Amino acid sequence: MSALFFDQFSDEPVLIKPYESIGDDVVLAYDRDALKNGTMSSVRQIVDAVGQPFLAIDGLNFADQWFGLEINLGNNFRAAKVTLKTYPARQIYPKVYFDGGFLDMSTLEVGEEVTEVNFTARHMAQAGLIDGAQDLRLSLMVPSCDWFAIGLYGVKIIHA
Amino acid sequence: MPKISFLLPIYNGDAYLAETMDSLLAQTHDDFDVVVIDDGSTDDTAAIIAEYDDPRIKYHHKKNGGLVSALNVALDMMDCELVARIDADDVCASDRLVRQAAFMDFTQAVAVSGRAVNIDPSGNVLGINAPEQDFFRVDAGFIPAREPYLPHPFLMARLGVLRDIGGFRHAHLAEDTDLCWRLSQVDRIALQTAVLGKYRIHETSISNASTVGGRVQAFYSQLATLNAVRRDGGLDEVPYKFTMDEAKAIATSFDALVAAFADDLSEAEAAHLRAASVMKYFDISNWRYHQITREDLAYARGALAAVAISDENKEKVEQILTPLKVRQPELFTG
Repeated sequence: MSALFFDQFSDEPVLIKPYESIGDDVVLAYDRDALKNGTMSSVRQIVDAVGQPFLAIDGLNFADQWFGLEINLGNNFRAAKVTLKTYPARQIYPKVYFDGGFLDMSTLEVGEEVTEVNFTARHMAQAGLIDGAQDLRLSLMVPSCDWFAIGLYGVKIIHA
Repeated sequence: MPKISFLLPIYNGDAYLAETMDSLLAQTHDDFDVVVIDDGSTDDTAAIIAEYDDPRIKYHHKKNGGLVSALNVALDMMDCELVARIDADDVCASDRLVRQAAFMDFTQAVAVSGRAVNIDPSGNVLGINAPEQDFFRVDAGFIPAREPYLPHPFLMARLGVLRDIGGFRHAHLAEDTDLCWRLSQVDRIALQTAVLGKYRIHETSISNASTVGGRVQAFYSQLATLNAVRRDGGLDEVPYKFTMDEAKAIATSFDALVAAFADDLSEAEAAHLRAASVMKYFDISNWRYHQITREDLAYARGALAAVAISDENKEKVEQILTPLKVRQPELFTG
């Protein structure tokens, strides 16, 4: 399991530094030097049209940088479920890092509708993840764009 | 003060007013009112509004002065955080305000809009508005311009921002395009894919009234784009110096419209405006069904030949002409 830090955020935006945690094992990932170029992110907790709370991540990205979520999957990983939406609709590039390398997963399209994206150890193995890889991290990266919003509803990680 | 106010301008539009009002008062949002600005109607508008015994309705009657005047009078008197535009012949989905307010909160945009189901005068469904693809690839130099256009009947915007940018201006029949350019230049605007209501298309829509109206709308939309370019470059805008009636009298041709502003335009701007305006007119004709003439087509070819356009833009020109070739094949033969 992974819990987003809903309690730490109100509807007032809070500036989030690169690689700062917004949940257990969940960080906002962007270049540590990007702040100098005006790239930044803030987080609020708000509700959607049906009253469902989510973390609204607002990104300004004036530099040519990637920006996204990084989720620590640890060892003995079985599955991860990320529930999110974005505006504008974006291609999201999932990448799995492990000790000694990384693996690109199939690109996802996420837009305004809340979307549940699932990653399983079995799919990663089919995509070429070596057996017994340790210290897995899932990176969901958004390509550079001037501004975007991500609505993060939940991150769930299941271990064996 | 309510969080949201509907802004409903009306001029002799009693035919569908009750249906529109019913849809506004049925909103699931619990913090809104309805500002009806009656621009000197002589029909049953006042009587229809009077039948509603609802404190959320604020009715104001003014001397006829046109749409821009009505909208700006309303902006001056409104007291709310968000303005939700609606026309007197359109219908809101009951969750429009809830969905739009949530979308604004999520995106932190100062203005948003969404999609609508197109209906005919009897309410029969004609289709759903296609997403505005140009919104995500704005290009003021394109022919016609790729505009940051938010469909106006379902616009929601921050009242403070609307006031700060000077409200609506006399870019006749393209007031909404002019507004969108200015909004996009001061802050973030966003377009929702959600269907927020029904948009009625009928013969008496003001922008559908005539080919003269079509020319005026097309020309002023491209002039609004030129002004956006000028603002970006720190230059003075081309003033919107004519009344609606004057603009319609001038609009015997695109040459006449451009000539009326010649003192304020460079030769390159005038050439671009001719080509962009006539292609915008053709584009509008594909859904407003203006009759295009052989003279229009010859004029467009000449105007396009006078400007340099990219291969991508040439493809767009062909895309605009394709439906016309189907609708009026006689223009392309002989």
